Amino acid sequence: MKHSAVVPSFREDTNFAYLVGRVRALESGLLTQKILDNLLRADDLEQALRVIAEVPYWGTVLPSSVRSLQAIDEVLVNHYWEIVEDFRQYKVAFPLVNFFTLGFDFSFLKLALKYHLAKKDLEKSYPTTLESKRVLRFFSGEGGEFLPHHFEMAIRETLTVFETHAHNVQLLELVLDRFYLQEVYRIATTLESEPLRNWLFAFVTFAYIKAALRARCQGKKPEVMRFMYFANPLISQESFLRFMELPSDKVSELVGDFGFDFLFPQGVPFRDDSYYLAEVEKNINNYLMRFARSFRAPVFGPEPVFGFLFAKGVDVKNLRIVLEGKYFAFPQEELRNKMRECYYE
Amino acid sequence: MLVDGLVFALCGSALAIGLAGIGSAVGVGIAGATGAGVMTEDPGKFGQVLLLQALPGTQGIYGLLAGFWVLIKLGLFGGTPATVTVAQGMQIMFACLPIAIVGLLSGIAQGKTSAASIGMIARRPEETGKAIILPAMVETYAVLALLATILLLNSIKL
Repeated sequence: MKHSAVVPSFREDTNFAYLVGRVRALESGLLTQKILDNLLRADDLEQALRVIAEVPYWGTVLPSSVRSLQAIDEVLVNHYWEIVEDFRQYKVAFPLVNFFTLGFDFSFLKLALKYHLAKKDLEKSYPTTLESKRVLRFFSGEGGEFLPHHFEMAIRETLTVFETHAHNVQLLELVLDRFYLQEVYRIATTLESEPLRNWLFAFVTFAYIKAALRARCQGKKPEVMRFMYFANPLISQESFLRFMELPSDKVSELVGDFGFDFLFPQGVPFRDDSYYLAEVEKNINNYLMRFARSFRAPVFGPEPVFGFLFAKGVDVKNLRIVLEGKYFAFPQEELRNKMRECYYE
Repeated sequence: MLVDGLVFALCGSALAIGLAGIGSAVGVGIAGATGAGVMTEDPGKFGQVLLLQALPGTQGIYGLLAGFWVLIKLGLFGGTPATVTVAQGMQIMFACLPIAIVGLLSGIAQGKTSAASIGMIARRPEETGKAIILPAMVETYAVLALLATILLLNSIKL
Protein backbone atom coordinates (compact mmCIF):
# COMPACT_ATOMS: atom_id res chain seq x y z
CA MET A 1 0.00 0.00 0.00
CA LYS A 2 1.80 3.10 -1.24
CA HIS A 3 0.10 6.20 0.17
CA SER A 4 0.93 8.22 -2.94
CA ALA A 5 -1.23 5.81 -4.92
CA VAL A 6 -4.31 6.21 -2.76
CA VAL A 7 -4.41 9.99 -2.45
CA PRO A 8 -6.88 11.29 -5.02
CA SER A 9 -8.11 14.83 -5.73
CA PHE A 10 -9.63 16.87 -2.91
CA ARG A 11 -13.05 18.43 -2.63
CA GLU A 12 -13.12 22.17 -2.13
CA ASP A 13 -15.35 22.00 0.89
CA THR A 14 -15.55 25.55 2.20
CA ASN A 15 -17.79 24.37 5.07
CA PHE A 16 -14.56 23.57 6.86
CA ALA A 17 -13.06 27.05 6.32
CA TYR A 18 -13.54 28.10 9.96
CA LEU A 19 -12.20 24.85 11.39
CA VAL A 20 -9.25 24.83 9.00
CA GLY A 21 -8.46 28.39 10.16
CA ARG A 22 -8.46 27.20 13.76
CA VAL A 23 -6.35 24.20 12.86
CA ARG A 24 -3.77 26.37 11.10
CA ALA A 25 -3.42 28.52 14.21
CA LEU A 26 -3.26 25.47 16.48
CA GLU A 27 -0.69 23.75 14.28
CA SER A 28 1.91 26.26 15.44
CA GLY A 29 1.63 24.58 18.86
CA LEU A 30 2.42 21.09 17.57
CA LEU A 31 5.69 19.50 18.58
CA THR A 32 8.55 19.52 16.11
CA GLN A 33 11.63 17.33 15.89
CA LYS A 34 13.70 20.24 17.23
CA ILE A 35 11.62 20.46 20.41
CA LEU A 36 11.75 16.69 20.83
CA ASP A 37 15.54 16.77 20.43
CA ASN A 38 15.76 19.38 23.21
CA LEU A 39 13.56 17.20 25.39
CA LEU A 40 15.70 14.15 24.68
CA ARG A 41 18.84 16.05 25.72
CA ALA A 42 17.36 16.74 29.17
CA ASP A 43 19.16 14.92 31.99
CA ASP A 44 16.06 13.94 33.94
CA LEU A 45 12.28 14.41 34.16
CA GLU A 46 12.60 17.70 36.02
CA GLN A 47 14.81 19.20 33.34
CA ALA A 48 12.56 17.83 30.59
CA LEU A 49 9.56 19.46 32.25
CA ARG A 50 11.47 22.75 32.42
CA VAL A 51 12.21 22.46 28.69
CA ILE A 52 8.56 21.82 27.84
CA ALA A 53 7.45 24.67 30.12
CA GLU A 54 9.46 27.06 27.96
CA VAL A 55 7.87 25.88 24.70
CA PRO A 56 5.06 28.27 23.64
CA TYR A 57 1.63 26.69 24.03
CA TRP A 58 2.88 23.47 25.68
CA GLY A 59 4.20 25.57 28.53
CA THR A 60 0.63 26.45 29.50
CA VAL A 61 -0.65 22.91 28.95
CA LEU A 62 2.05 21.20 30.99
CA PRO A 63 3.51 23.58 33.56
CA SER A 64 6.68 22.46 35.32
CA SER A 65 4.73 22.28 38.59
CA VAL A 66 3.24 18.96 37.40
CA ARG A 67 5.75 16.39 38.60
CA SER A 68 4.37 12.86 38.98
CA LEU A 69 4.04 10.58 35.96
CA GLN A 70 0.39 9.90 36.75
CA ALA A 71 -0.40 13.62 36.92
CA ILE A 72 1.48 14.24 33.65
CA ASP A 73 -0.42 11.45 31.95
CA GLU A 74 -3.71 12.80 33.22
CA VAL A 75 -2.90 16.34 32.03
CA LEU A 76 -1.92 15.08 28.58
CA VAL A 77 -4.98 12.84 28.15
CA ASN A 78 -7.33 15.56 29.35
CA HIS A 79 -5.67 18.13 27.08
CA TYR A 80 -6.14 15.89 24.05
CA TRP A 81 -9.69 15.07 25.06
CA GLU A 82 -10.58 18.76 25.43
CA ILE A 83 -9.39 19.49 21.90
CA VAL A 84 -11.24 16.51 20.42
CA GLU A 85 -14.42 17.41 22.31
CA ASP A 86 -14.14 21.03 21.25
CA PHE A 87 -13.99 20.05 17.57
CA ARG A 88 -16.82 17.58 18.07
CA GLN A 89 -19.19 20.46 18.77
CA TYR A 90 -19.06 21.49 15.12
CA LYS A 91 -21.69 19.54 13.23
CA VAL A 92 -19.68 19.61 10.01
CA ALA A 93 -16.71 17.86 11.67
CA PHE A 94 -18.76 15.42 13.73
CA PRO A 95 -18.30 12.23 11.64
CA LEU A 96 -14.52 12.54 11.43
CA VAL A 97 -14.07 13.63 15.06
CA ASN A 98 -16.19 10.63 15.97
CA PHE A 99 -13.22 8.43 15.08
CA PHE A 100 -11.14 10.12 17.77
CA THR A 101 -13.85 10.01 20.44
CA LEU A 102 -14.51 6.32 19.73
CA GLY A 103 -11.09 5.39 21.11
CA PHE A 104 -11.89 7.18 24.37
CA ASP A 105 -15.40 5.68 24.52
CA PHE A 106 -14.28 2.09 24.06
CA SER A 107 -11.43 2.50 26.56
CA PHE A 108 -13.99 3.77 29.04
CA LEU A 109 -16.34 0.88 28.26
CA LYS A 110 -13.56 -1.66 28.83
CA LEU A 111 -12.73 -0.15 32.18
CA ALA A 112 -16.34 0.31 33.25
CA LEU A 113 -17.21 -3.28 32.29
CA LYS A 114 -14.26 -4.65 34.22
CA TYR A 115 -15.27 -2.65 37.28
CA HIS A 116 -18.88 -3.72 36.88
CA LEU A 117 -17.98 -7.40 36.59
CA ALA A 118 -15.68 -7.11 39.59
CA LYS A 119 -18.59 -5.42 41.41
CA LYS A 120 -16.52 -2.32 42.10
CA ASP A 121 -17.45 1.33 41.70
CA LEU A 122 -15.71 3.61 39.23
CA GLU A 123 -13.98 6.13 41.44
CA LYS A 124 -12.91 8.69 38.87
CA SER A 125 -14.47 10.28 35.84
CA TYR A 126 -12.94 9.42 32.49
CA PRO A 127 -12.94 11.27 29.19
CA THR A 128 -15.80 9.85 27.14
CA THR A 129 -18.85 11.00 25.22
CA LEU A 130 -20.90 8.45 27.16
CA GLU A 131 -22.65 9.33 30.40
CA SER A 132 -21.02 7.05 32.96
CA LYS A 133 -24.11 6.78 35.17
CA ARG A 134 -26.23 5.83 32.19
CA VAL A 135 -23.69 3.21 31.10
CA LEU A 136 -23.59 1.73 34.59
CA ARG A 137 -27.39 1.60 34.72
CA PHE A 138 -27.35 -0.11 31.33
CA PHE A 139 -24.92 -2.74 32.66
CA SER A 140 -27.32 -3.44 35.52
CA GLY A 141 -30.09 -4.02 32.98
CA GLU A 142 -32.26 -1.17 34.18
CA GLY A 143 -35.29 -0.84 31.92
CA GLY A 144 -35.71 2.21 29.75
CA GLU A 145 -32.00 3.01 29.61
CA PHE A 146 -30.52 3.22 26.18
CA LEU A 147 -27.17 4.03 24.60
CA PRO A 148 -26.12 4.63 20.99
CA HIS A 149 -26.87 1.43 19.04
CA HIS A 150 -23.29 0.21 18.51
CA PHE A 151 -22.44 0.66 22.19
CA GLU A 152 -25.59 -1.23 23.21
CA MET A 153 -24.73 -4.07 20.84
CA ALA A 154 -21.12 -4.12 22.05
CA ILE A 155 -22.09 -4.28 25.73
CA ARG A 156 -24.79 -6.92 25.20
CA GLU A 157 -22.50 -9.19 23.21
CA THR A 158 -19.58 -8.69 25.59
CA LEU A 159 -21.71 -9.64 28.59
CA THR A 160 -23.10 -12.67 26.74
CA VAL A 161 -19.62 -13.86 25.71
CA PHE A 162 -18.41 -13.30 29.26
CA GLU A 163 -21.23 -15.46 30.65
CA THR A 164 -20.92 -18.23 28.06
CA HIS A 165 -17.11 -18.45 28.12
CA ALA A 166 -16.25 -19.11 31.73
CA HIS A 167 -15.94 -15.43 32.69
CA ASN A 168 -12.89 -14.91 30.50
CA VAL A 169 -11.91 -11.23 30.87
CA GLN A 170 -9.56 -11.46 27.88
CA LEU A 171 -12.54 -12.04 25.59
CA LEU A 172 -14.22 -8.94 26.94
CA GLU A 173 -11.48 -6.75 25.47
CA LEU A 174 -11.41 -8.63 22.17
CA VAL A 175 -15.16 -8.30 21.61
CA LEU A 176 -15.04 -4.59 22.42
CA ASP A 177 -12.05 -4.17 20.08
CA ARG A 178 -14.09 -5.81 17.34
CA PHE A 179 -16.98 -3.39 17.83
CA TYR A 180 -14.52 -0.51 17.91
CA LEU A 181 -12.91 -1.52 14.61
CA GLN A 182 -16.30 -2.27 13.08
CA GLU A 183 -17.44 1.25 13.98
CA VAL A 184 -14.23 2.77 12.58
CA TYR A 185 -14.87 0.85 9.36
CA ARG A 186 -18.46 2.11 9.28
CA ILE A 187 -17.28 5.70 9.77
CA ALA A 188 -14.81 5.21 6.91
CA THR A 189 -17.54 4.07 4.55
CA THR A 190 -19.69 7.10 5.37
CA LEU A 191 -16.95 9.70 4.81
CA GLU A 192 -17.04 11.59 1.53
CA SER A 193 -13.32 12.30 1.63
CA GLU A 194 -11.45 9.55 -0.20
CA PRO A 195 -8.07 10.20 1.49
CA LEU A 196 -9.68 9.96 4.92
CA ARG A 197 -11.56 6.83 3.94
CA ASN A 198 -8.31 5.21 2.80
CA TRP A 199 -6.57 6.35 5.96
CA LEU A 200 -9.21 4.72 8.14
CA PHE A 201 -9.12 1.55 6.05
CA ALA A 202 -5.35 1.45 6.58
CA PHE A 203 -5.92 2.00 10.30
CA VAL A 204 -8.31 -0.96 10.55
CA THR A 205 -6.02 -3.24 8.51
CA PHE A 206 -2.98 -2.35 10.61
CA ALA A 207 -4.99 -2.78 13.81
CA TYR A 208 -5.62 -6.40 12.85
CA ILE A 209 -2.00 -7.03 11.89
CA LYS A 210 -0.83 -5.42 15.13
CA ALA A 211 -3.31 -7.46 17.19
CA ALA A 212 -2.22 -10.69 15.48
CA LEU A 213 1.47 -9.97 16.11
CA ARG A 214 0.75 -9.04 19.72
CA ALA A 215 -1.23 -12.27 20.13
CA ARG A 216 1.85 -14.18 18.90
CA CYS A 217 4.03 -12.39 21.50
CA GLN A 218 1.57 -13.02 24.29
CA GLY A 219 0.91 -16.61 23.25
CA LYS A 220 -2.81 -16.05 22.69
CA LYS A 221 -4.57 -18.75 20.73
CA PRO A 222 -5.97 -17.93 17.28
CA GLU A 223 -9.37 -19.36 18.34
CA VAL A 224 -9.56 -16.70 21.02
CA MET A 225 -8.54 -13.96 18.59
CA ARG A 226 -11.51 -14.86 16.36
CA PHE A 227 -13.64 -12.85 18.80
CA MET A 228 -11.91 -9.73 17.60
CA TYR A 229 -12.60 -10.28 13.93
CA PHE A 230 -15.51 -8.83 11.96
CA ALA A 231 -16.07 -9.73 8.30
CA ASN A 232 -14.52 -7.02 6.15
CA PRO A 233 -12.99 -6.78 2.68
CA LEU A 234 -9.68 -5.36 3.97
CA ILE A 235 -8.32 -8.46 5.66
CA SER A 236 -9.95 -11.88 5.57
CA GLN A 237 -10.40 -13.96 8.69
CA GLU A 238 -8.16 -16.57 7.12
CA SER A 239 -5.32 -14.06 6.67
CA PHE A 240 -5.84 -12.68 10.16
CA LEU A 241 -5.54 -16.14 11.66
CA ARG A 242 -2.60 -17.04 9.43
CA PHE A 243 -0.62 -14.16 10.95
CA MET A 244 -0.85 -16.05 14.23
CA GLU A 245 -0.51 -19.58 12.95
CA LEU A 246 2.50 -19.24 10.64
CA PRO A 247 6.02 -20.06 11.91
CA SER A 248 8.09 -16.94 12.65
CA ASP A 249 10.19 -17.17 9.49
CA LYS A 250 7.06 -17.08 7.28
CA VAL A 251 5.42 -14.00 8.83
CA SER A 252 7.56 -11.55 6.82
CA GLU A 253 6.45 -13.29 3.61
CA LEU A 254 2.79 -12.90 4.51
CA VAL A 255 3.30 -9.25 5.34
CA GLY A 256 5.11 -8.90 2.00
CA ASP A 257 2.14 -10.49 0.22
CA PHE A 258 -0.01 -7.68 1.59
CA GLY A 259 2.56 -5.14 0.36
CA PHE A 260 3.28 -4.02 3.92
CA ASP A 261 7.05 -4.77 4.04
CA PHE A 262 7.65 -1.24 5.33
CA LEU A 263 6.02 -2.21 8.64
CA PHE A 264 8.91 -4.46 9.61
CA PRO A 265 12.34 -3.11 10.56
CA GLN A 266 14.68 -3.23 7.55
CA GLY A 267 17.15 -6.12 7.54
CA VAL A 268 15.98 -7.54 10.87
CA PRO A 269 14.34 -10.98 10.70
CA PHE A 270 10.92 -11.23 12.33
CA ARG A 271 10.90 -12.15 16.00
CA ASP A 272 8.02 -12.88 18.36
CA ASP A 273 9.04 -10.40 21.02
CA SER A 274 7.80 -7.13 22.44
CA TYR A 275 10.78 -5.10 21.13
CA TYR A 276 10.10 -6.17 17.57
CA LEU A 277 6.37 -5.50 18.07
CA ALA A 278 7.19 -2.01 19.41
CA GLU A 279 9.17 -1.36 16.21
CA VAL A 280 6.25 -2.52 14.07
CA GLU A 281 3.85 -0.31 16.04
CA LYS A 282 6.17 2.65 15.53
CA ASN A 283 6.36 1.96 11.78
CA ILE A 284 2.58 1.72 11.57
CA ASN A 285 2.27 5.01 13.39
CA ASN A 286 4.85 6.66 11.14
CA TYR A 287 3.15 5.33 8.02
CA LEU A 288 -0.21 6.74 9.15
CA MET A 289 1.51 10.03 9.98
CA ARG A 290 3.09 10.27 6.52
CA PHE A 291 -0.30 9.46 5.03
CA ALA A 292 -1.94 12.22 7.12
CA ARG A 293 0.88 14.59 6.15
CA SER A 294 0.15 13.96 2.46
CA PHE A 295 -3.26 15.63 2.87
CA ARG A 296 -2.06 18.42 5.17
CA ALA A 297 -1.73 21.13 2.51
CA PRO A 298 -5.27 21.52 1.07
CA VAL A 299 -6.97 24.67 2.30
CA PHE A 300 -10.51 23.36 2.31
CA GLY A 301 -12.16 20.13 3.31
CA PRO A 302 -11.97 17.92 6.39
CA GLU A 303 -8.48 16.51 5.77
CA PRO A 304 -6.39 19.18 7.59
CA VAL A 305 -8.73 18.94 10.61
CA PHE A 306 -8.37 15.17 10.74
CA GLY A 307 -4.61 15.38 10.23
CA PHE A 308 -4.26 17.87 13.07
CA LEU A 309 -6.26 15.76 15.52
CA PHE A 310 -4.17 12.72 14.66
CA ALA A 311 -0.97 14.75 14.98
CA LYS A 312 -2.10 15.99 18.39
CA GLY A 313 -2.56 12.39 19.51
CA VAL A 314 0.94 11.53 18.29
CA ASP A 315 2.34 14.55 20.17
CA VAL A 316 0.77 13.27 23.36
CA LYS A 317 2.23 9.81 22.66
CA ASN A 318 5.70 11.29 22.04
CA LEU A 319 5.57 13.38 25.21
CA ARG A 320 4.53 10.32 27.21
CA ILE A 321 7.44 8.31 25.79
CA VAL A 322 10.04 10.97 26.48
CA LEU A 323 8.78 12.04 29.93
CA GLU A 324 8.30 8.47 31.09
CA GLY A 325 11.74 7.62 29.68
CA LYS A 326 13.32 10.52 31.56
CA TYR A 327 11.59 9.44 34.76
CA PHE A 328 13.03 5.92 34.45
CA ALA A 329 16.37 7.34 33.18
CA PHE A 330 16.34 5.46 29.87
CA PRO A 331 19.30 6.27 27.59
CA GLN A 332 18.71 9.10 25.10
CA GLU A 333 19.25 6.90 22.02
CA GLU A 334 16.80 4.28 23.23
CA LEU A 335 14.17 6.97 23.66
CA ARG A 336 14.99 8.50 20.28
CA ASN A 337 14.35 5.13 18.62
CA LYS A 338 10.91 5.00 20.17
CA MET A 339 9.83 8.46 19.04
CA ARG A 340 7.12 8.82 16.40
CA GLU A 341 7.47 11.15 13.41
CA CYS A 342 6.06 14.64 13.86
CA TYR A 343 3.37 16.22 11.65
CA TYR A 344 5.74 19.04 10.75
CA GLU A 345 9.37 18.05 10.39
CA MET B 1 -37.35 51.40 -29.13
CA LEU B 2 -35.82 54.06 -26.91
CA VAL B 3 -37.03 52.27 -23.78
CA ASP B 4 -35.82 48.82 -24.98
CA GLY B 5 -32.26 50.07 -25.51
CA LEU B 6 -32.23 51.53 -22.03
CA VAL B 7 -33.41 48.22 -20.58
CA PHE B 8 -30.42 46.38 -22.07
CA ALA B 9 -28.02 49.06 -20.87
CA LEU B 10 -29.46 48.98 -17.35
CA CYS B 11 -29.34 45.21 -17.42
CA GLY B 12 -25.60 45.44 -18.14
CA SER B 13 -25.15 47.85 -15.25
CA ALA B 14 -27.10 45.55 -12.92
CA LEU B 15 -25.07 42.52 -14.00
CA ALA B 16 -21.78 44.31 -13.38
CA ILE B 17 -22.84 45.41 -9.91
CA GLY B 18 -24.71 42.22 -9.00
CA LEU B 19 -22.39 39.47 -10.21
CA ALA B 20 -19.17 41.16 -9.13
CA GLY B 21 -20.85 41.88 -5.78
CA ILE B 22 -21.82 38.23 -5.36
CA GLY B 23 -18.23 37.17 -6.16
CA SER B 24 -16.90 39.55 -3.53
CA ALA B 25 -19.46 38.55 -0.93
CA VAL B 26 -18.65 34.86 -1.35
CA GLY B 27 -14.90 35.51 -1.40
CA VAL B 28 -14.97 37.75 1.66
CA GLY B 29 -17.19 35.18 3.38
CA ILE B 30 -14.77 32.30 2.78
CA ALA B 31 -11.75 34.34 3.87
CA GLY B 32 -13.72 35.65 6.85
CA ALA B 33 -14.65 32.15 8.02
CA THR B 34 -11.01 31.06 7.91
CA GLY B 35 -9.96 34.32 9.57
CA ALA B 36 -12.49 33.81 12.36
CA GLY B 37 -11.05 30.34 12.92
CA VAL B 38 -7.52 31.73 13.19
CA MET B 39 -8.62 34.54 15.53
CA THR B 40 -10.44 32.08 17.79
CA GLU B 41 -7.01 30.76 18.69
CA ASP B 42 -4.93 33.88 18.12
CA PRO B 43 -6.85 37.19 18.34
CA GLY B 44 -3.58 39.09 17.87
CA LYS B 45 -3.68 38.34 14.14
CA PHE B 46 -6.70 40.59 13.56
CA GLY B 47 -4.78 43.20 11.53
CA GLN B 48 -3.28 40.72 9.05
CA VAL B 49 -6.51 38.73 8.80
CA LEU B 50 -8.60 41.83 8.12
CA LEU B 51 -6.29 42.92 5.31
CA LEU B 52 -6.47 39.51 3.64
CA GLN B 53 -10.22 39.25 4.16
CA ALA B 54 -10.75 42.66 2.52
CA LEU B 55 -8.86 41.74 -0.67
CA PRO B 56 -11.73 39.86 -2.39
CA GLY B 57 -13.99 42.85 -1.66
CA THR B 58 -12.46 44.92 -4.47
CA GLN B 59 -14.34 43.06 -7.24
CA GLY B 60 -17.60 44.38 -5.83
CA ILE B 61 -16.17 47.91 -5.94
CA TYR B 62 -15.03 47.43 -9.56
CA GLY B 63 -18.50 46.17 -10.49
CA LEU B 64 -20.10 49.17 -8.79
CA LEU B 65 -17.71 51.50 -10.61
CA ALA B 66 -18.58 49.96 -13.98
CA GLY B 67 -22.29 50.08 -13.16
CA PHE B 68 -22.10 53.76 -12.21
CA TRP B 69 -20.07 54.45 -15.37
CA VAL B 70 -22.99 53.10 -17.41
CA LEU B 71 -25.52 55.18 -15.46
CA ILE B 72 -23.47 58.33 -15.96
CA LYS B 73 -23.07 57.50 -19.66
CA LEU B 74 -26.84 57.08 -19.92
CA GLY B 75 -27.29 60.47 -18.25
CA LEU B 76 -29.58 58.99 -15.60
CA PHE B 77 -28.03 61.05 -12.81
CA GLY B 78 -28.69 64.31 -14.73
CA GLY B 79 -32.42 63.59 -15.00
CA THR B 80 -32.49 63.51 -18.81
CA PRO B 81 -31.70 60.00 -20.05
CA ALA B 82 -29.80 59.73 -23.32
CA THR B 83 -31.51 58.20 -26.34
CA VAL B 84 -30.38 54.56 -26.52
CA THR B 85 -31.13 52.25 -29.41
CA VAL B 86 -31.44 48.48 -28.94
CA ALA B 87 -28.03 48.01 -30.60
CA GLN B 88 -26.42 50.59 -28.32
CA GLY B 89 -28.14 49.09 -25.27
CA MET B 90 -26.83 45.65 -26.16
CA GLN B 91 -23.37 47.06 -26.76
CA ILE B 92 -23.40 48.56 -23.28
CA MET B 93 -24.66 45.30 -21.78
CA PHE B 94 -21.91 43.26 -23.46
CA ALA B 95 -19.33 45.85 -22.42
CA CYS B 96 -20.36 45.21 -18.80
CA LEU B 97 -19.89 41.44 -19.06
CA PRO B 98 -16.08 41.32 -18.53
CA ILE B 99 -16.23 42.82 -15.06
CA ALA B 100 -19.49 41.00 -14.27
CA ILE B 101 -18.16 37.52 -15.10
CA VAL B 102 -14.53 38.00 -14.08
CA GLY B 103 -15.65 39.83 -10.93
CA LEU B 104 -17.87 36.91 -9.92
CA LEU B 105 -15.28 34.20 -10.52
CA SER B 106 -12.18 36.08 -9.41
CA GLY B 107 -13.90 37.23 -6.22
CA ILE B 108 -14.53 33.62 -5.22
CA ALA B 109 -11.06 32.50 -6.33
CA GLN B 110 -9.44 35.36 -4.45
CA GLY B 111 -11.46 34.50 -1.35
CA LYS B 112 -10.08 30.97 -1.45
CA THR B 113 -6.54 32.18 -1.98
CA SER B 114 -6.96 34.69 0.85
CA ALA B 115 -8.22 31.88 3.10
CA ALA B 116 -5.11 29.87 2.23
CA SER B 117 -2.93 32.91 2.98
CA ILE B 118 -4.69 33.45 6.31
CA GLY B 119 -3.81 29.84 7.13
CA MET B 120 -0.23 30.60 6.11
CA ILE B 121 0.13 33.61 8.43
CA ALA B 122 -1.46 31.61 11.25
CA ARG B 123 1.53 29.29 11.16
CA ARG B 124 4.16 31.68 9.80
CA PRO B 125 3.34 35.27 10.76
CA GLU B 126 6.75 36.38 9.47
CA GLU B 127 5.60 35.56 5.90
CA THR B 128 2.74 38.09 5.86
CA GLY B 129 4.21 39.95 2.85
CA LYS B 130 4.25 36.83 0.69
CA ALA B 131 0.83 35.84 1.99
CA ILE B 132 -0.63 39.11 0.69
CA ILE B 133 1.06 38.88 -2.72
CA LEU B 134 -0.54 35.52 -3.56
CA PRO B 135 -4.20 36.61 -3.43
CA ALA B 136 -3.21 40.00 -4.88
CA MET B 137 -2.15 38.16 -8.06
CA VAL B 138 -5.80 37.17 -8.61
CA GLU B 139 -6.66 40.87 -8.43
CA THR B 140 -4.76 41.47 -11.68
CA TYR B 141 -7.47 39.77 -13.70
CA ALA B 142 -10.27 41.72 -12.04
CA VAL B 143 -8.38 44.95 -12.83
CA LEU B 144 -7.91 43.84 -16.45
CA ALA B 145 -11.61 43.04 -16.71
CA LEU B 146 -12.52 46.47 -15.31
CA LEU B 147 -10.16 48.09 -17.78
CA ALA B 148 -11.76 46.12 -20.63
CA THR B 149 -15.24 47.15 -19.51
CA ILE B 150 -14.27 50.86 -19.28
CA LEU B 151 -12.53 50.81 -22.69
CA LEU B 152 -15.53 49.07 -24.26
CA LEU B 153 -17.97 51.50 -22.65
CA ASN B 154 -15.90 54.47 -23.84
CA SER B 155 -15.91 53.14 -27.40
CA ILE B 156 -19.72 53.18 -27.53
CA LYS B 157 -21.08 56.42 -29.01
CA LEU B 158 -24.52 57.49 -27.80
